Amino acid sequence: MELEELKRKINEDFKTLKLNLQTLSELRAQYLGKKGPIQELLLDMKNLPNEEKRTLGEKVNALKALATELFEEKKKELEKEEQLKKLESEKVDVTLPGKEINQGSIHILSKVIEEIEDLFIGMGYEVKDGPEVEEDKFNFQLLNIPKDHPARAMQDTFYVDAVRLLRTQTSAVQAHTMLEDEEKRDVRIICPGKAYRRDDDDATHSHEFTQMEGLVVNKTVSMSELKGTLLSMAKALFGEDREIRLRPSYFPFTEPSIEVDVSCFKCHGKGCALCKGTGWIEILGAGMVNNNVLKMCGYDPNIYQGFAFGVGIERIAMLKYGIEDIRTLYSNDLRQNKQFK
Amino acid sequence: MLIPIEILKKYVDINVDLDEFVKNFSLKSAEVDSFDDFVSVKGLKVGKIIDVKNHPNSDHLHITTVDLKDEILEIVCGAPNVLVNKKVIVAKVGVNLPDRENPGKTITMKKALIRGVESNGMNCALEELGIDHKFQGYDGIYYLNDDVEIGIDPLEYLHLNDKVLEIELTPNRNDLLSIIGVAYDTKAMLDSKIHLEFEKANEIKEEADIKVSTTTINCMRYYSKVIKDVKISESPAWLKGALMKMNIRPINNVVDITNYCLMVTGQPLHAFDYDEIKTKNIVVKMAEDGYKFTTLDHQERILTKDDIVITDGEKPLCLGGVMGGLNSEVEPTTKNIFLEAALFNPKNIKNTSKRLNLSSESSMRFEKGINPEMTKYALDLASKMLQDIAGGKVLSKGYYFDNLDTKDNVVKVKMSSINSVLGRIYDPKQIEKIFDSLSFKSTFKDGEFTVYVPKRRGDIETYQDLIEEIVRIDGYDKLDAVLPKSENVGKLSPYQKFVRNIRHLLSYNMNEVITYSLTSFEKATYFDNEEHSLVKIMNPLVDDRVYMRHSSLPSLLETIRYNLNRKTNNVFLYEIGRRYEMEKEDKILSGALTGIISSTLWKGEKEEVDFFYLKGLIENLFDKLYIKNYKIIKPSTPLKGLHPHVSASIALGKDEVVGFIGKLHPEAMKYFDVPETYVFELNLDKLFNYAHPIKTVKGISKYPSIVRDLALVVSEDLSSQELIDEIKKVGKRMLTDVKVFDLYKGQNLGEGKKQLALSLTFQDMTKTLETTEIDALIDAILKHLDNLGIKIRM
Repeated sequence: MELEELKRKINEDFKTLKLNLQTLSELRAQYLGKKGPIQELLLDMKNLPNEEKRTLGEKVNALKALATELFEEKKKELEKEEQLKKLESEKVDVTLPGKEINQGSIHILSKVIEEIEDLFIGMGYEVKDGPEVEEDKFNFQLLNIPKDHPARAMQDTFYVDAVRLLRTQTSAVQAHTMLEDEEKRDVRIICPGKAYRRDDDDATHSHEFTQMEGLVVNKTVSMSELKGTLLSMAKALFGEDREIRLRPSYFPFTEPSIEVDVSCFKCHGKGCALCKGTGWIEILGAGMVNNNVLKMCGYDPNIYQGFAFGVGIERIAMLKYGIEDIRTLYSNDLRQNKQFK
Repeated sequence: MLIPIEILKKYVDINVDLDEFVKNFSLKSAEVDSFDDFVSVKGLKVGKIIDVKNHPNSDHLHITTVDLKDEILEIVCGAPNVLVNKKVIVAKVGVNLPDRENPGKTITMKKALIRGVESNGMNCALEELGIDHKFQGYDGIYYLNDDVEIGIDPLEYLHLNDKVLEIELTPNRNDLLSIIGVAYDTKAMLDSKIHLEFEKANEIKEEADIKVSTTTINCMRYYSKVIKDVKISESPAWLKGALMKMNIRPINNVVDITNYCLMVTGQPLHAFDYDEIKTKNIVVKMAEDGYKFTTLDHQERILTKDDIVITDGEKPLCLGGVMGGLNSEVEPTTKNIFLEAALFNPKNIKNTSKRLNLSSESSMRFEKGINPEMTKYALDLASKMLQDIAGGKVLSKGYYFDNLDTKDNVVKVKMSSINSVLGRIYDPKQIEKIFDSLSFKSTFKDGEFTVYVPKRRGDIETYQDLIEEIVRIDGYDKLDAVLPKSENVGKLSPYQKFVRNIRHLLSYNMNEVITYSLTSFEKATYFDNEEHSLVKIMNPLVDDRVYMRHSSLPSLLETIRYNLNRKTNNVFLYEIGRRYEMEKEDKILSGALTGIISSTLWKGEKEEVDFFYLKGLIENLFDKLYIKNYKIIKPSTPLKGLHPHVSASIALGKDEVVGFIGKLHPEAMKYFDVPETYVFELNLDKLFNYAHPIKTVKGISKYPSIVRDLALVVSEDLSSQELIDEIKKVGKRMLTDVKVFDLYKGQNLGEGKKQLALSLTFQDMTKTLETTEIDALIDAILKHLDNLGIKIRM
């Protein structure tokens, strides 16, 4: 058999036979196996002289190599075809819905608290908390609100007994922090947490609510620094192009006391329903710590001064996300909750 | 506090436009609630009814012919009080009137056919202009005084075409409870002029025969005047207008004058019928317990020894500072007036007012403190008005006693304090100017101001108060906004991070909620196994919010119900809240889960929450929090509210129980009206003590592991945990893992038996384990189990 002939024969078989990997392997055995034509040539070789033996040997090797190469190529081709077929058979409709895993969420009030916490941690503050069932002393007296003070009427209080009450403001934590620090070190804290007022629940009032108090006490802290701090917060919460304005107000624990407005982020100061046409929205109360508070908490007002502010977290959340009824923050309709990731 | 601009302008110059003034007011003085026209209607005319005819098709309507000077209109009128020759307020066709059914909206007057007769406008009641009905005092159309000219704007005549500033006062600014107080602040912020001077009454030199004295120190000052021959009548339009704008109902000229002077000066005045003071001997004293006294409102009041009374020496005439008595009331027939301007102890007034539930413009001001500069001023102003308006003769001699210290408060403030507190450098001249504008006298020496603060500003006691005055009048906008320098590194504590971490981990497929802490006793204790000292509110608002909760689970279950009602059927909630007891508050993580947590419905796959889902969730959470060696075991006693056989305690350390998981008991399901629900609760304060983040990496064995499976038939009561614990006792260090991969219960095993298939993994850190070693270990394990009566199933 000649090389050309073998090649022609194999290619013809490849063409005429519908081969798969199995039949290809059988065909290969026919050509290259012990009873195949190439092997037969070798059998004939025994009887040939040495000179011819070598010539024939070379020929047989060449034939073997050729057949092997052809079969290997064909095998690769078939394998590829086979893989394509398999892949084709595994086809899916990628637009079918994925596994539905319940969409988890973080409560909007937690979101807002964490956002403000992170902002103030970045400015060197620590986060403090205290009891919600509080003593009159910490909630009122140490904050310069003695019994019979008119400011008590501003905050209707749930009382537990003659001494204890549900804190009406997280400012109570201020007094704890200052009074309980034996070394009277500088203070730089924020205190987020639940507070309580004896109010009937309606769209804007909740008998339980979340407040974040901030307090800085050191030898030099000034009202300009309070303004800068509050401006940073307003920008972080409501957008970089926000401005703030301060108006006189009254809190027994600060003097001077201010209300803080942020320029309306909806109309940018032109006046709209959100800001009731004024271009400004009230967001918090603040002031310089009243000397009586410093004194009662063991800080010498001749040396120390401080600023404090209190933010209603619900109010911030409602303004920021357009929530109209404070009660929805506590009723937890998941269709609302799930919007906050 | 309502401030009509027309009245304010009598006392202070407003040298900027009104909107600018109002803006200034809110930025420098007090919060502005509103600033609006008292009446918003434009284009009204004064008309005179020149003819009244009955409507042909109605028994109550009239056809009025109204002369408006330039035109004569026929107006159909339904008012019951229509009279010819009366002067009325006419809203012609085209005038916009307030829509009383839709506040804030208006209705335009249109020409109308009323039962066949054309009507060209409306004769108005004050109410139709948006003014409270109480001010008119009678039903039907409002009649103007006969002297008014027809054709003019009635609002101008009535002094109602004015704007009113409504301000909200903080408890410290009682000085703003009067027009003059507001005028002082206006002067300061606008740097304008205040006008307090007026021409006093022409007093006649006649002496009234009356004595004034006190037996109590609770009346610090008592000034009086006698005004004779007053004619009680209606007040002039401007006075009635002024009162209406300040929300006070005009009554008659004497009462109106005292009310007006009160609003202008802040000093309450009381007018007695002079002739009813028979003894001519006014004695101020404390009442006696149980004394009965009838006040102006015809109520009989029982007095106590803490009430201040004005008496005629024998019987009370007036409950001092609170309300006058019926026995000395000024009546239409009254001729002579005894006018009182006094100062009482705020505490007594507060107590009396509170006890009798009797609060008035006067008592409210007495409670808060009154500007003593105004006692005589108010008395003089009222006397002058009684002369001018009521035709009275003011007697020259005033009768009084005065035990009040009226010296200015002296408060000092250093320049260095001002600059340091405000963070801005001020020029002392600038500060002096601000004190001037506030009408505070001041001197400056050695870097310190000595300020003489008038008594009207009783709120200013310390240098901090003065600094507030400086910064508000100068303007908060002048302050720079700078950040404080920080040497601190701000951070969350490890515990705060731990809590935050939990919130974020669970938020992957569960929903955080925040619910109320106040609840009912039944809910507060629903899941409690023992009694605790609960926190109970003394003065609750509603019955179902009396106790501080001892578990958040009831709220979570209610939230599940709330969401089921809104067609959210798969609900997986957690809350990080507190558990309240009288002596402590613990931070608690609670969860309640019901329904399908994940699904691929078109593949027919869904995973419903069950006990083992929840257990896996908690175990994963613990793993993420570096909490090891926890035990989730059958509770020693059944947990209240949970399925007795599908619930477990979670314990750490030396069997410290930190929480539980379980299926809700059918009774609890019924009570909270929820379907099959799984709950858990963990005490985060306790849990945190067991969270130990890794410090060094644990080595991984280089040698292969070998796995052997065992099928064991055990008593149904033996827990898999107990079985595994026994196996581990023998397997020791080389047995690195035991997994349960099958549970089988069948009759062929025998009564009360189950088969657990376990897969045991062996590995050594130092060498490849030999088959013989493993065989020996397995033999030892089986032998140990055999001793316990546990057989291997071949």
